[in-house]
Amino acid sequence: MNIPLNIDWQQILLHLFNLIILIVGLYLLLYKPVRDFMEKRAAEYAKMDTETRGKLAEAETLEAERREQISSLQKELDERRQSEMKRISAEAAAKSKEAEDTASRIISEAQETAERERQRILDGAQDEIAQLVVDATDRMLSTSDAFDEFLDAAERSA
Amino acid sequence: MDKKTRNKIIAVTVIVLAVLLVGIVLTGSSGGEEEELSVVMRDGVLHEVNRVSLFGMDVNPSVISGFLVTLVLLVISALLRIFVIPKFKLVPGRLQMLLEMAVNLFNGLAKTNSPHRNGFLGVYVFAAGTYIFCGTIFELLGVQVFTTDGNAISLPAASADINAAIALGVLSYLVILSGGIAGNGVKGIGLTLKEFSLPISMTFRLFGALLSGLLVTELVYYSITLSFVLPVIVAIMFTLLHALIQAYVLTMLTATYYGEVSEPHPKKQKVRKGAQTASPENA
Repeated sequence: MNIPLNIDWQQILLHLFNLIILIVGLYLLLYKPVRDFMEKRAAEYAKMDTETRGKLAEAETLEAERREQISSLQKELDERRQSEMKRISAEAAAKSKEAEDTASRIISEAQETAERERQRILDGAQDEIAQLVVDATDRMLSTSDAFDEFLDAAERSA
Repeated sequence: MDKKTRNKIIAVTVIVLAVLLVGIVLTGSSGGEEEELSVVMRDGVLHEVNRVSLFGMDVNPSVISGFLVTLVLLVISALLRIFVIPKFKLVPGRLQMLLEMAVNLFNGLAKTNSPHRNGFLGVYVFAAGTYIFCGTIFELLGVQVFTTDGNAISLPAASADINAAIALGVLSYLVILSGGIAGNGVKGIGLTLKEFSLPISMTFRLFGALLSGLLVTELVYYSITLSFVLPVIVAIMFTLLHALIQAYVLTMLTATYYGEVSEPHPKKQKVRKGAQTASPENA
């Protein structure tokens, strides 16, 4: 059959044959290996991305835990500080009171001691004066001239 | 190089070219004496005269071009498969980037136009696009063969033949049909057959576009007055433009139609008349 435009079934089939060989060949030799590589690389990048996201989430969780721990420790520290402050204040007050008591006790003891000493000194001085008077009297009595002279003088003056 | 030497070189070149031009005009034929323009153009379209023998069969030269292009492409692909692809790296080099870009271009085209089913479509548009592009720029090489009459001719583009265009158009239509069947079964056949003019339009679009370039080139080559400088620009411009445009058009059309016919159409739920009337009563 003579088809216009020089259309030839045999040549169409030859072109189809050629095209199918080319499609299969290019698919096996070029398209598939390159696409497989690209998919593999994309999967690898996706895996790396997932891992990185996981690690990031883990780091964020750890950071949150650390923050929580830090805040709880801070809270505990504040509580301890307050309790210690209270304890120290109470202790200081007690010590201060004790010191005041001690001081007053020492002062009163010192006063008592001083009083006793004064009294002892006074007692000692009275005895000494009495002894001096007795000694002087004795001496006068023992020396009558002086006594007589004294009496004469007293009479003359009278 | 000083100014004097440069002017001397330019003057000598101009004189030599002028002598050659005079020689060409005086000694040569005008290029149209042996073959009429109508004959040249008719042969450019129909390939009735210059036929080439292939394993005992008289075929158009574009069949030889097609086989040669396929052979070259497969050899290059095999070399790339053996020596380049196994050495692909995560951070690509220039050649790797070029190959990835080519594959990604057609793979992306298939995925964009046919999101539901695109595995085979990507392969087909990759091969068809590569074949049309390389087959068209193949004519720039000017590979010489002998016709059955003993004349030497330079091989034309692989698709500059109505039979090659028919083969590509029909194959594209069959690929679209396969997409319809794979996506929608029997309904897909109907959807594809609805576009019955597609193989004819694809065939003649491809053939016409390539033929127009070929005819313009033939016209330019035919006249001796247009044979200087102009053919280089015209041939390369037309060839490259057609190579790019036709590769893009055919692959884009195939991908678009493939996407249309392979898109799943949900089955319409039949509503029974009895059920409609019965339901209020039951309620």
